[in-house]
Amino acid sequence: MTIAQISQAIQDIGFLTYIRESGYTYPVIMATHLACIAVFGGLILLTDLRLLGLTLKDYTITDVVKGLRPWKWLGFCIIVTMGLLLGLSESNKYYGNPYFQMKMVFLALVGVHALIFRPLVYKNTEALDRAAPQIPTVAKTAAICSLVLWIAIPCCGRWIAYYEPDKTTATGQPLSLIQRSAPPPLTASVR
Amino acid sequence: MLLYDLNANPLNSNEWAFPLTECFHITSFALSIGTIMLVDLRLLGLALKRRTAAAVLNNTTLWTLAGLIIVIISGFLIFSSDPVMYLHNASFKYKVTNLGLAIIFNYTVHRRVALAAPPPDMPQKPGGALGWLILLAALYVALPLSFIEVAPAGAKVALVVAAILVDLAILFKAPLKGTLAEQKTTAIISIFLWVAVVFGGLWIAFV
Repeated sequence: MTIAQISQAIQDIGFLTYIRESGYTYPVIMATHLACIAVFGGLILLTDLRLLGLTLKDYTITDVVKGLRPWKWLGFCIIVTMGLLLGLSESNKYYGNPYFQMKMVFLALVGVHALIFRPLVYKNTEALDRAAPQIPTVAKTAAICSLVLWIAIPCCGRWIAYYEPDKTTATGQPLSLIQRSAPPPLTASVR
Repeated sequence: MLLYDLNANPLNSNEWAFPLTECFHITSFALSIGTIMLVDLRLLGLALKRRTAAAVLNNTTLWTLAGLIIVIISGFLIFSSDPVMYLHNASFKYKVTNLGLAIIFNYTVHRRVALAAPPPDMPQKPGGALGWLILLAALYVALPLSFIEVAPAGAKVALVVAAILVDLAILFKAPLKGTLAEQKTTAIISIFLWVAVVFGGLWIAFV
């Protein structure tokens, strides 16, 4: 079986077809996905900013990392679940989308980030606090990598909607991004 | 009347500008809503319990403000790409209304409650002005329903004005300091408002 056939078979599963063709369910799932990015993505940003010493300086790194960990895990589970439902319901459209592929690569890199920095930083916060007010370079490195990854992931997610593989320019060159459709010739008036 | 040529807007003529602006919009609302959510989690007693909600607020207020400024600027740029479409989009109107209420609520009741919340080891009084907050919660629930059910414009305006007036009444008149119900209800309303803003924004594309 080809990837296209596998993707088609996946998205033809009953409840995924229902999600894709529904008027409310798909938007609700996507809105939940986005709302959780706003809520829990923000907590991830705050943790990284604390590791960089830029905010929540009245709290120890241990307080911030351990205190927010359950909420970040809850948010991550909801985001991934909603993302799976969205992705699988339109897998035929997504598998060839380079921005979707990049997003999956960045998600995989988040796992690599966790494997590398978990023993050094996130499970070693007491040692980081003992070094206060200095913050060890490894903690700052972990924070910067995390910031880059977690900003890149929603950006790639947004860019998914702008890719269409079949469009070409007038000279036959592939169009990698959808051109925003030109507004009508008449100028719009704004009071 | 101001004539506005959409073709001259870089967000319409440059294929990268609009998605890039949206990326700034998404990242900045994650920052602003995330910081506000942290204060709400503290008010609910669910995170960072060693210090007061005031400490959380003071540590995050500048980041919240920075996030909101970028959100509003990037949001305005996105709006400028097709203002006629957005002005006729019910979900956009719902989003902007909730955004206005959320910002007002954040810098009035929410801020006052967070700054007045007692230290974690102090005993807290049960709800003293729960009625006021229930009224406020009911208003903030009725407001989005009025948009969904396509209520008359006058009803929407009346609900917004009522929500702001109750907001101000709680801020200046009702004796609420130190009540646990006040903290929890304020946090729940805050979460509801900001999630409604996000839902409204996403739904623009589906209306």
